[in-house]
Amino acid sequence: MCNDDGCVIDDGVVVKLGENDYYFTTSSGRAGQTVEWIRYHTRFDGWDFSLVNLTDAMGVINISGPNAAKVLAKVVDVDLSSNAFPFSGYQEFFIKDTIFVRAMRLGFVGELSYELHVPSSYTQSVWDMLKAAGAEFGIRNFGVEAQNVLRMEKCHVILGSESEQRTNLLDLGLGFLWDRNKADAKTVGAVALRQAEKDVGRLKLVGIRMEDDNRPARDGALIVDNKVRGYVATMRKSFSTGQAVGMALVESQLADIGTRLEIFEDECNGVRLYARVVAMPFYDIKGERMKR
Amino acid sequence: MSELKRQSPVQFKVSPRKTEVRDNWTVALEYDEEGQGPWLVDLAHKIRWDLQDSRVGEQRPCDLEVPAAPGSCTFANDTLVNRMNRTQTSIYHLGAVAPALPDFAGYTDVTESTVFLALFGPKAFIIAEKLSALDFLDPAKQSPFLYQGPFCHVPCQIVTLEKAADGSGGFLLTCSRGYGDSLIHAILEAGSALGLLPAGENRFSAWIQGLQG
Repeated sequence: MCNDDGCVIDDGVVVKLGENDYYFTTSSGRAGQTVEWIRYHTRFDGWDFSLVNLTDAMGVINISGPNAAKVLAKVVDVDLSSNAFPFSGYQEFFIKDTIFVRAMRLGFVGELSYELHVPSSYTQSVWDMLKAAGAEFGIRNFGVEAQNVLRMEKCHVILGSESEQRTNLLDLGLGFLWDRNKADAKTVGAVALRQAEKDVGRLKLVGIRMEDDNRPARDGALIVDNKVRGYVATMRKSFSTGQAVGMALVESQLADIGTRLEIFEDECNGVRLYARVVAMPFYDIKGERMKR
Repeated sequence: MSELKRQSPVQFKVSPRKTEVRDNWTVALEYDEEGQGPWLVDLAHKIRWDLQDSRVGEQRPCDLEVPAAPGSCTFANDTLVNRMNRTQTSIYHLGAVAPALPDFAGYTDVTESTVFLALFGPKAFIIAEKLSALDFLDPAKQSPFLYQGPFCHVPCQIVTLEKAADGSGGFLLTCSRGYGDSLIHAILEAGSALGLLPAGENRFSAWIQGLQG
């Protein structure tokens, strides 16, 4: 979702439930503003729709990992095979004939994953069921830092981390989401994006790997030569590959694979770090793990 | 396998004397010490609907009229219909049972979305004045009426069902579910010197039955 400048302000998952019926998510904490965005951009066009913010109505549990389907199969009576419930699929079902679940098969952390949207009041019950069902598989809670590293290995962006106010859809490499056949007047930000396509020197999102895998740069570290040329968005030593990898926003002249980048950190005492632009993603390049 | 149990967004520190399990909600009916009022009642289990339509004024939820003016309410048959704006109405079912959601695209069951509380009895609005700048005792307003504004700095829908110049009466309050614990803490703290205590559904039901004659 873009603003009039073509800059990305929100992202999420959209499910088409019926001919004129959609269920969609926003990024964390953005639902209220996105509701207002939709109302604002439809205010003069005679739109007739109902829009309800259900954020507080739903608890969301993300069950991820190679055994996710086996755990879920113990709790629900649904065909979880990839044919019946493929990657990017959506299903609705009940747990114990009582708890209505909206389930999305996604892969933000790069593994087989199910996002379960359940009524808020039943969230604790569903959580307890999944923990009990997953005990034999060694199920464990995971927090947002683990999520952050796992999604970074897959180069899945978090708005606000891999973007800032001036970052547009093309800068993030998400131009394929822009339907160029749709009239500009019906696509917020399209006019600005057409203009930005010709701009040279915009900050572009790239993958980077440190020359020293034991020394990841800090998030926010500057990419410099004789002036600031970009910054490190997120970087960690990858759990999966052992490499110090991350994503950075750099001027487009520095975005080619193999380009050597000089990194300046606060209090570095003149000692610079070095990285190179590498291909994204860093892990499971073909996405086989989340699509298995 | 775990027990199917629904959790209210608010938890009182005292346990009820009498409860009833209804649609997997544990409904508090009575507490040992409810005092002489004012009272605070958790109504999370009561069904709430949102109704949106470009011609919402022509809808008849539960065969009740949708009021024409934003801020106005219709209250009858244990059902409260609150006109929010040009296109939107909230509907609260205050009785023991609620009808099925009508088969019309504009209706959404939002019961799970919100905290739902009743604060009523003597000095109820003295407590409210400590927590909100809204003028619940405005003589120009006749109950029931709806405010959409801040209570404890949280955006709320507040329906005044009964009011008197001495600050007695009562109101219903909804806000986003996530604020539940903070809201309860603030309300009980503000009302402690005035004798505010948690009460069960029985006391609430008696109050609204009295209001409807």
